Amino acid sequence: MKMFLNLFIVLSCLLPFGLKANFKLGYGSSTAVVNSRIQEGFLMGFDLGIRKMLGDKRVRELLTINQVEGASQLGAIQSASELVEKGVVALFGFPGSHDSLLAAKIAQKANVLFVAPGCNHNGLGKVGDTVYTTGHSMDREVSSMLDFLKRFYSKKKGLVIINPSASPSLSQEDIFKQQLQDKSNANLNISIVRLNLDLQLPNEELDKLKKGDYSYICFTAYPEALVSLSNQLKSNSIDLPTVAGSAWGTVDSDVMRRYISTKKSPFYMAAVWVRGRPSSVYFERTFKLRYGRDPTPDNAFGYDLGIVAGSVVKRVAGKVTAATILSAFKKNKCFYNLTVGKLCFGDSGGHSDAKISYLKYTKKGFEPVL
Amino acid sequence: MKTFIKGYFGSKYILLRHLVYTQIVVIIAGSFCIFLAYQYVSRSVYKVSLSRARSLAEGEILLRQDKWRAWDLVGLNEFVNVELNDFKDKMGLEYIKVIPVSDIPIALLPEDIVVPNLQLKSKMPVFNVVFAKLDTSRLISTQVPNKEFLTILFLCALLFLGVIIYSASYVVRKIHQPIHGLGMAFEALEKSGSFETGKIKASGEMKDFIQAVDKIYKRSIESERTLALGHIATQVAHDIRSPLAALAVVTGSLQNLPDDARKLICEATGRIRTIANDLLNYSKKGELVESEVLDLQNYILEIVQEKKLEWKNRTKTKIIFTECPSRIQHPTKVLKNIGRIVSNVLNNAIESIQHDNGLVTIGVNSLANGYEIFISDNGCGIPDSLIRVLGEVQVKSNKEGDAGSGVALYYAKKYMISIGGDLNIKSSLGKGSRVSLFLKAKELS
Repeated sequence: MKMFLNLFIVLSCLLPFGLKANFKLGYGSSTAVVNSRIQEGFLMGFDLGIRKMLGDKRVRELLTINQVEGASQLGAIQSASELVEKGVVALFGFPGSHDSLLAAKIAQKANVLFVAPGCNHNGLGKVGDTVYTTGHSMDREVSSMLDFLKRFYSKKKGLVIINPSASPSLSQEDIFKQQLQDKSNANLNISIVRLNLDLQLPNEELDKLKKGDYSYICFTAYPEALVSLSNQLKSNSIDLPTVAGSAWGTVDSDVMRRYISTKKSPFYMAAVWVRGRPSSVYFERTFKLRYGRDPTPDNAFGYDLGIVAGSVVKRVAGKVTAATILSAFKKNKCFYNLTVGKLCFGDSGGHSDAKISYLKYTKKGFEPVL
Repeated sequence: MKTFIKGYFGSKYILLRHLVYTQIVVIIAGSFCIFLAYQYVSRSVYKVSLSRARSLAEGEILLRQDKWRAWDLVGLNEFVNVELNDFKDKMGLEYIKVIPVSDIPIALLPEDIVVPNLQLKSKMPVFNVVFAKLDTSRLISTQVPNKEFLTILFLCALLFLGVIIYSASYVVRKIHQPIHGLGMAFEALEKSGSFETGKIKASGEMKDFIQAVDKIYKRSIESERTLALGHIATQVAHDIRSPLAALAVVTGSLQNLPDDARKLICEATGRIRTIANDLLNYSKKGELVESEVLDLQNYILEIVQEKKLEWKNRTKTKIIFTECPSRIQHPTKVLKNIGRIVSNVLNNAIESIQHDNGLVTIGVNSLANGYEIFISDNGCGIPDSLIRVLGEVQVKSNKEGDAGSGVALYYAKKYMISIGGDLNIKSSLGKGSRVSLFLKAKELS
C-alpha cells in the first residue's frame, strides 16, 4: 500500500512534465527598424530566461517563434497576426517601440497578453490592459534625463536632438517641451531641434554647434537611427559632451562604439541594465556558459522578458489559456530574479517601474555615475 | 430655318427644298457624329491616361505603403505627412493620406481614387490604408486628342461639307435648273405658243432628255400640220374637180393648138386629175394609194419633157436626160408617187441655178438590187449644216424667191424610206448638188 502511494506521488509529480503542452507561447520580431543582429540578441536572452523557468523540453514544445525578415515596416503586424492565427496564448518579444506598438494592436484585438522587452514609447501605456513592456515610460526617461542634466550641466546651454523618423524619439519631443516648462527645470537651458529628412542637423544648428553655442548634446533615438548624424558631427569635428537616452543602453550597438571611440569629451548614457550588478551576475554567468561570450544589454532585456514569460506560465493554476495567463499576470504584476532585480507593472497595462541609471563611458567601460 | 428656306426657294420648288432640308439634316447629323466620335476618342484617351496614372500611382504606393501605414500606427503622423506631400507632388496626385480602414467610403470608389490592394498572404488585420486621389486636372489635357487627330478630323469635316455642298450644287445645276428651264419653256408655250429649249443649259442625260422632249414637241407640231394638210388636200381635191371637168370639155376643142401644146395641156390635165384623186384617197384612207407606171425610163423622160416645157423661159438652163448606159430590165410597174418626187427635185435643181450656164442632168442607173434615179445640177449648192438635217426635219433652202420649209424633201425622204428605198443628197456649196433616189427591185415589181 505504501509502495502504491509512493508510486502515485511520483507519477503525480512527473505527470505535468510528461504530458505534452497543449498551449503555445509566441515570440515575434521583425527587422523593420531594429536589425536582425540585435533582434537575435533579444531572442538569445529570452530563450535563456524562459528555459530557466520552464525547462528545455517544455520550451521546445510550447514556444513558437516567428521572426519576419524583410524591409516591410508592417513586419511586426505580420509576425503577431501569424502567431495569433496559430493560437498562441500570449505574445512576447517585438523589441523596439515601432514593432511593439504595432504588435500590441494585434494582441489587444486578440485579447492575449503582450509583453515587450525594454520599449519605452508612451503609446504602449495607452493600448490597453493586456499590453505591457519591461521598459520604463518616456515620461520617466525624460524626467530622469532632465534630473541628470540639472546635476551635471545646470545653467549650461544644451541641444536635444530629435529624430522625426523614430517614433520613440519623436514622442520625447513633446515630453521635453512639456517638462522644461516645469519650474523645477528652470535652471536648464535646452534647445530642441529635429533632424532634417537626411537625418542630419540643419545647417544653422550645425553652425551654432561649431561656434560653441552649446555645451552638450542629447540623443533621443537608437544609435542605428543616428548614423548620418554621427558622421556629420565627426566630419565637422564637433566633440561635445553627449548624453544619450536609454535606447542607447538597450542595444548592443557598433554605431555607438564607433561614435564613442573618437570622442574625448564625456559620453553618458541612460540604462536599465547595469553590468556587474548582483542581480545580473547569475545571468551574465549562465549566458557566457551557454553562448560563450559576455552578454550585451539586449541579451539582458531578452532574458528578463523570458523570466517574466516563464513566471506567468508557472503562475497559472490549471489549464493554460489566453484568459488564464492574462488573469495570472494581472493577479501578480511583480516579477523577480531578473537582471534588474524586481520589476513590477501598472494596473492598466504599459510600462514597468524599471530603475533608470546613468552610465559614463570610461577606459574600463561603462560605469554608473547616477 | 424652315421659313427661311421656304422664303428663299419659294413654295414651288418642293423637291429642291426637301433636298436642302435633307442636306441640312445630314450636315447636322454628321457634325453630331463627329462630335460624338471626338468625345469618344477624348474619353478613351482620358481613360487610358487615367488607367496609366492609376497603375503607376498604385505601384509606387504599394512599394511604400507599409512604411506609411506603420508610421501612422506608431504615431509618426508628421513624418508621414512630409513623405506623403513629397509623394503627392512627385506623382501628380490631388491628395494622399493614410486613413483608418473604417473610413473608406462604402460606395463604389470613383476611378480616380487609388486604394492599393491589401490582400496579403497571411490573414493580417488591416487597421489603415493609403487613400489617394489622382489629380485629374493634369489628365484633362490628355482628354484633348492630339493635333494630328484634330487636323484629320477637321479635314474630314471639311471634305464632308464640301461633298454635301458640291452634291447640292450639282443637283441644282444639272437637274433642277434644266427641269426648271423645261418647266418655264412649257409655261411659255402655254402663254405665247413658242417652245424654246435652246437656252436651257443641260448636259448628259438631261440634255438628251430635253432634246427628246423638243423632238417630240416638233413632231407633234408636224403631225398637226400634216392633219391640216389632209384637210386642205380634201378641200383642194374637191375644189379641183369642177375646173377639171371644165378643162376636159374644153380640151376636146383644142385642135387649133400646136400638137406639143395640146399634148402638154392633155397630160397636165390628166396629172391634175391624178393628183386630185390621190388627195382624195389620202384624205379618206390616211395614205396615198398610188397609181403605177409601166416603164420607169419613159416615165422619167415624160417628166423631163414636161419640165422642159414648164421651164422653157429659163433658156440659159439646160435639162438633159441621160439614158442608162447598161441595159435596164425595165420594171413593168413603178409607183407614180416617185414621179412627183422627181418633179419636185427637178424643180429644186432648176431653181438653185442662178447663173447663165445652168445644167440639170437626170438619169437612171441600174444597180445590183435596184435602180438609182439621179438629178444633178450646177446650182448654188446646199450648206453642209443643212445637208445634215435635210430630210430629217423641215428646213428652209436657199431657193430663189422662195421661202420653202423643205417639207417636200422631208416627205420625199420619209416616203422613200417607207418603201424600202432611200434619198441621198450630195452637195458642194457654189458648185452644185446631186440627189439620188434609190429603189429596190422588189418595190418596182
